[in-house]
Amino acid sequence: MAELGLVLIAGAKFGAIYALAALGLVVVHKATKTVNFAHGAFAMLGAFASFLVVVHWQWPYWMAYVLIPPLIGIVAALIEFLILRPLRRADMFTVVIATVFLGIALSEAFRLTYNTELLAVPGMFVGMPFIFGGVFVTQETLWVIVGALVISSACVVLFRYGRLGRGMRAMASNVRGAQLCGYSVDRVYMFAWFLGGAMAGLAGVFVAPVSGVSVELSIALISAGFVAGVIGGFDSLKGAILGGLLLGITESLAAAYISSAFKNCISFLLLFIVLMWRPEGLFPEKVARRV
Amino acid sequence: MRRGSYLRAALAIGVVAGLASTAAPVRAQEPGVSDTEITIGAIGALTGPLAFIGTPGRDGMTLALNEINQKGGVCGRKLKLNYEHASTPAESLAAVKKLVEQDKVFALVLASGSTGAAAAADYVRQVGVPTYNLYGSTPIIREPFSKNVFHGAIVPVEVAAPGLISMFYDEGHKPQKIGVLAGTYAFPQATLKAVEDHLKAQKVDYALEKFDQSARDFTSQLVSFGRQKVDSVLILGSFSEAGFAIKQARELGMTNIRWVLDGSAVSRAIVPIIGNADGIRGYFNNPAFPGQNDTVKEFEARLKTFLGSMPQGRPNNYDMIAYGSTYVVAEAIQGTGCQLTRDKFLASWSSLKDAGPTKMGGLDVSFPESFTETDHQGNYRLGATVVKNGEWQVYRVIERP
Amino acid sequence: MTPLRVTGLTVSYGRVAAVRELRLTIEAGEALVLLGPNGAGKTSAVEAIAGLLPKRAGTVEFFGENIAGLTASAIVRKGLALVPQWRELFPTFSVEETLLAATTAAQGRDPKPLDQIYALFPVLEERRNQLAGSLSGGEQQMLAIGRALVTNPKLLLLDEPSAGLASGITRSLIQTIIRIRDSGVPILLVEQNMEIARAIGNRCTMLAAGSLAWEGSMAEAIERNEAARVYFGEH
Repeated sequence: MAELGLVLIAGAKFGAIYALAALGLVVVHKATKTVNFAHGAFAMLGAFASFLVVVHWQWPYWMAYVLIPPLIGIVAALIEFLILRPLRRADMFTVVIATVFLGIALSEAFRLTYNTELLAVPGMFVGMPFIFGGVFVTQETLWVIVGALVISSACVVLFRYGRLGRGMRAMASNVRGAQLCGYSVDRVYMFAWFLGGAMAGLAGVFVAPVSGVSVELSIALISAGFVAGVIGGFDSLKGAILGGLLLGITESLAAAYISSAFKNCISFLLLFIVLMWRPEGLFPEKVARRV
Repeated sequence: MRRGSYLRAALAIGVVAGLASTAAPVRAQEPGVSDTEITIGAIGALTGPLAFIGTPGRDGMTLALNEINQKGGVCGRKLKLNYEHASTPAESLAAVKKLVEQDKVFALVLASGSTGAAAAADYVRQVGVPTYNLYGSTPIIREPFSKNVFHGAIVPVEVAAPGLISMFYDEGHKPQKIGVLAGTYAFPQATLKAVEDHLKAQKVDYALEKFDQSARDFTSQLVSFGRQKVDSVLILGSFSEAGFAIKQARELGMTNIRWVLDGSAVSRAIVPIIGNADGIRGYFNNPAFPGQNDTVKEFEARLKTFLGSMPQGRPNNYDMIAYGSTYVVAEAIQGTGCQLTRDKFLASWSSLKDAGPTKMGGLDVSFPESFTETDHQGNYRLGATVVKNGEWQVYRVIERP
Repeated sequence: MTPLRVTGLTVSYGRVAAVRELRLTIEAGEALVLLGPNGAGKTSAVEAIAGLLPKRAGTVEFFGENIAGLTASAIVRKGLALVPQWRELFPTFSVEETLLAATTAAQGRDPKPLDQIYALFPVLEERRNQLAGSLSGGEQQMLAIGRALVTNPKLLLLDEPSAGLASGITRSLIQTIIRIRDSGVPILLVEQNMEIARAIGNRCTMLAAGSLAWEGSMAEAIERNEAARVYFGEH
């Protein structure tokens, strides 16, 4: 039993991070109908900024959580303004390709400026672990699971009930209708990118002590976030969170009870099964009859 | 004959004469050797994921060549380095061909790890250019034996494997059960095969778990080790993989494990991942870890002066090997008695005994290398290292089994 | 000041001009009907005025200010609201949420209180928590008009509000639009149905093939049967 507990906790830890990564991806897609493949690179920048704050400048750890999400959000909003706005009239394919190469450019720029394999960042909490019936749970693990899930849920509430969230949902639902309500496309898109970037930055701060900062982080988070998003239905924020948790826990269980070499392919197998069985994802948005 | 025909005949003679003069130079000159210079070519990755091997490779070589040239060079000539960036197999082969066919280098150094060495292997055997494999552990470059290919500090996996296992028994430790945690990609798999062969031959009971490249979650593997009461773990992978595996093991309450790491994971950068890394063991390819004694400290100071500032995680294994190996090449050139032909050079190299930097006034940061006509592996020794107070140090030299 | 004065408005899709050199004026308190056969460019004209379609040329003066270069959201914020032909609602929004969303356009002015909208359309109050996508066609049209009214418009553009509605519902809709007109909000109504046009409009402008074909008072238009001539091309 304790062994199963360990496996589930580890799955939930990665799952919570996947959820956060998926959430930012879904927020941007929902409001702007663009899949931002540079999302993983934004998260990597967030993790790198975390290294600078915590290790390089030795500032208090909480500052990483407070400063980095808005900072990466601003970077994302600027990129939307400078690169994607001129492409707004181009077809979807052009925009998606632009984000793919933007992600590669950011990763390679990081590699060139910081030519190192990996930067290690310590955890926020280093105290004694909790033991629940033989299951070890470190304070860091608990913080990642609880912190990431609480913040993700807060985002869902903000998106569902907040004024800015309403604007993004209106834009997602009907661009012309949203404009007739006074929502500016430019402002809503920019804000969606800001929010998506901030969530990528936050995912970066959470993942830095868990995975370290490396170029591979960018790929790891975009692929996990993408799979989690698709499993959840891609336009559903709740789905993104549940999809992330499901992916993390499935990976962990498969590695423990099927084969450790099975871990990487399980995510794609899961994706395949979900798409075969429910092409709309596990938790799709309620779709009312077309108006 | 009309006038035009005379002219044409004269022109033809002129062209033929011109061709003949280029085909038969006044004095035969070996490729890469001029009256003032000897050109050495090298390949390695300067950007991309393998840059942590190729960049120190270039820097270590350049530092050694600067020192040698400041003392007047070899055989009255300066040594010149043509370093080509190459990270993929295709780039590596193209870079090697360019160095051999266009730059006509006297000797070729593969500072590219196994990937580049494997890609260049067939070609260098075929053209016969004197080749020094600095970092490649792959059998593709090592077998079959070739009289123009030499190997330096990196020992064959059959030598590394017993060395790794021997560290489980250091200081009277008696492992109950050994767990082997190996990456599924090429480099750890090569070592794994040798390790398994050795463990089976010694009739040691072990448990095997695998992980994918750049893995960060080792829970399932560690839980499996816990189930099988493993008290000693060998990790075959990179420092980041090893670091996160050990960090996670502690989070899962697995303390009191003897950890032994493959050479690829023995790096300063593993310490901040784990926090308190004391007691973790592994092998190093040089006799002393950076910072451990005055020779390595002096080396670090020289490299820092040369580079301006010291990049993160440097100097590393690859800086030290590249520096030491460059002196070995210089010594082989000197051993020709300055008859700078390829045959003399290969003969001189094949008879080097305990070659290394001190003989030419450098710093002995690598193990001395010896070669014979039939054995082109220069070094068989390893430094057994352990983390003490957050710093790696070599505590004994593992000799050839 | 004249609520709306459009001059030289040209709208084109690629090389094809949907509206050519249109001019029209709406005076305070008046309802102007834009008549014309299918494909005459009526919808293109009002969408261009509201900023949903780009304008090739022309000026749009809204209470003396040229708004031709503004985006749709900026125009509605100035107080020029459009009830579009396809309603453009948000299927997953409740009725109340839809109305709340539109208060955005009235920031800095005063949004119309929701109870005033509900007083005008009691059925919307009954269905306030229902999703827009689950409403009937007539209810959706009321919601679309209610959404435009929340923005507290100084001018209301209505693009064929009766399209696809049962005649009973259409009749009550006409009464509501007349009440809006009489409350002092000038109206530009796009309509094909002469009966509705006559009930609401004071003046009318007729479009044919993107160009102005005839303009005059509603009564005159009916008397001279201008509509038939425009519709059947008897110039």
